[in-house]
Amino acid sequence: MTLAARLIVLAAVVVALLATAGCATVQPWERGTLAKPVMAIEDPAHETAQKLRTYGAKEGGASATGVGGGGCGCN
Amino acid sequence: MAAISPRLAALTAAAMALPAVHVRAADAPGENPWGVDATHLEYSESGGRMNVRVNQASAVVPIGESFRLKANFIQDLMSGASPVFNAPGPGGKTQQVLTGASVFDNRKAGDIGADASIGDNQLLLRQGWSKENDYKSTWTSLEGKRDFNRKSTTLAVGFAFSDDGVSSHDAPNDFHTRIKRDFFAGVTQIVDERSLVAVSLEYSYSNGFLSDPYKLVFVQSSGLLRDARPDQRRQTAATVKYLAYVPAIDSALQAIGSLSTDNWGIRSGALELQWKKELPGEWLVNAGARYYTQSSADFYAPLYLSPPGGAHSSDYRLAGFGSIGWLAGVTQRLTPNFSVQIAAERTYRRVGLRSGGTGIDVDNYIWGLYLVTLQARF
Amino acid sequence: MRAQRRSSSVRLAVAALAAVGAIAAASTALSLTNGDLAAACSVPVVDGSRTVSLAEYRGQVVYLDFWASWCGPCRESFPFMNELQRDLAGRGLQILAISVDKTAEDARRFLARYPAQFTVALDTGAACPAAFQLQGMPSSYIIDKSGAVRAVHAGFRNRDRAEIRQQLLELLGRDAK
Repeated sequence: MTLAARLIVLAAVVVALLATAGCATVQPWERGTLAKPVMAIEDPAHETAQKLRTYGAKEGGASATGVGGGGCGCN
Repeated sequence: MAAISPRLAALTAAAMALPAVHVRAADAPGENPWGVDATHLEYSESGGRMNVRVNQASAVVPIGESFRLKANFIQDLMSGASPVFNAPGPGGKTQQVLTGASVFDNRKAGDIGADASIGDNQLLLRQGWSKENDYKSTWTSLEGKRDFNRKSTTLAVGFAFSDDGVSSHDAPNDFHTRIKRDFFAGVTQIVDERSLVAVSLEYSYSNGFLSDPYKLVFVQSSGLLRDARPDQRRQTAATVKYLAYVPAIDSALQAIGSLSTDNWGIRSGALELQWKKELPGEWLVNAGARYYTQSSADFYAPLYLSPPGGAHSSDYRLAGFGSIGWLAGVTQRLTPNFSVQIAAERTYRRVGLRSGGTGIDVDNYIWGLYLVTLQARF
Repeated sequence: MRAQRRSSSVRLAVAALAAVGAIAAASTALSLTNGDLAAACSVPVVDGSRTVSLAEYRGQVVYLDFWASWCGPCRESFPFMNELQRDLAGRGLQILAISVDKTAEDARRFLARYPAQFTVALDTGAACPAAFQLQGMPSSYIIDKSGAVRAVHAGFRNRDRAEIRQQLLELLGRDAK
């Protein structure tokens, strides 16, 4: 398998594992810690944009970008 | 070091920069839906090389409860020298040949977007443009997101398409075109009350004129040739992010690992570790380190003894190299509606840290940036 | 050959992502619905002076709200509940806002910034949200005079204000014979 194909399969396996076992159920009222500002999995948009432009311009490789999610799960 | 005619502007780093297609706002929809941001960023490289000054402004406007409009405007001002090719120097050591006197280039870019939130679903649409003397770009991106499991799981898929024209100062209206298609999928999953993990995958396909019009290649036997890269590039990247709150130190720790590969032979990996902590008085500090490594492209060589058949490039960005850097930031919420953020980063690029292929010492340099952002939310 | 291998691994990835989607979509949640009797719930009020329970409000229309100091939309719902208290308490409405914060200190810090004119209680052990099978934060339950849940609102949005008011007025007016 090419390295690219291996990367795809690895990511898919991780995703499948996450979806099934391994994750404790977190109730909506138990999300206080996840709601903390330090627990934002997405950096402020600008910082990320600038960084990605710098890395993209200076490096030959790429990195997949973020999804968001987590947080307090309100509304 | 020999000088090259200033007409050969070499500020192609910016010309080759990726459009910010996959940047998503971290702001939760609903609360304080109006927003205005302004950012100033300065980037510089050691050894009298490139300097970039960036100013950016963006705004978010809500339309009813379900929609948001976004607009973003960026202006870059670039100056400084940049490597053009490598040549044999005294004592058999390869040396870099840079552009001469400072060259200025001015880039303007903007994008507009619309977000729709309906129940657990979100749709994000963006359209962007970028223009400078010798480079223009238009891009479009579409992303869909959905929350599952009472918002414990977030799934996102996206697609972006960009269409660029690259010319040169010698022939500014003679554009070579290239297109890029990006596919993205990712999932964020809450692991337990204090940690979460995110996995994302990206595939891109570029086609057209992918070479750098300002770079040359030195051939011992025959002289200089233009940088000539393949007219097709496929890249695949995977990123895993893990974020956990550690009560013992009242801080969050984050690890981001990335791997990428492409059909040019460039394989890269990155690992970033970050610490984030809230301090009394509405302060937030973060600090971290990043390690990066890549192997050189199959068709890269610092210089050639005899004319290369096929693709050839001596661009330092396609060489084998690695880097280590630190990053740090401070955010302060001045009032419930205003916050300010300062961030800095410094990276040491070293050929010795490469994961494969070749590179040359003289390509080593240090880059640093700092940025200041003001945010208003109503 | 390479193309075949690449397409088979792409198929595998797509299948894995589809499996995630299917599992996620299939996970339906049980929740308290209209007509169910409100669960028993007994919690101390925030100043610690006494314990309140839903049972003592039987015969009144109750607006039960679950909130937390870390819940963003709660900054909007508190002024709204103050309005409800001002306008409808005289007509028999009883508001009970239960905090699910892990510490009383967190709840009190929120109340210092967003004062409440209605009854506020603490449920640091989170027994009540579990009994109500809470689906999201914040959540409010409109309970009629016989103790049955008449409406459930998961989340708090601007458009909920008018709807909640209307539902409460209906219940308050209905039994005024």
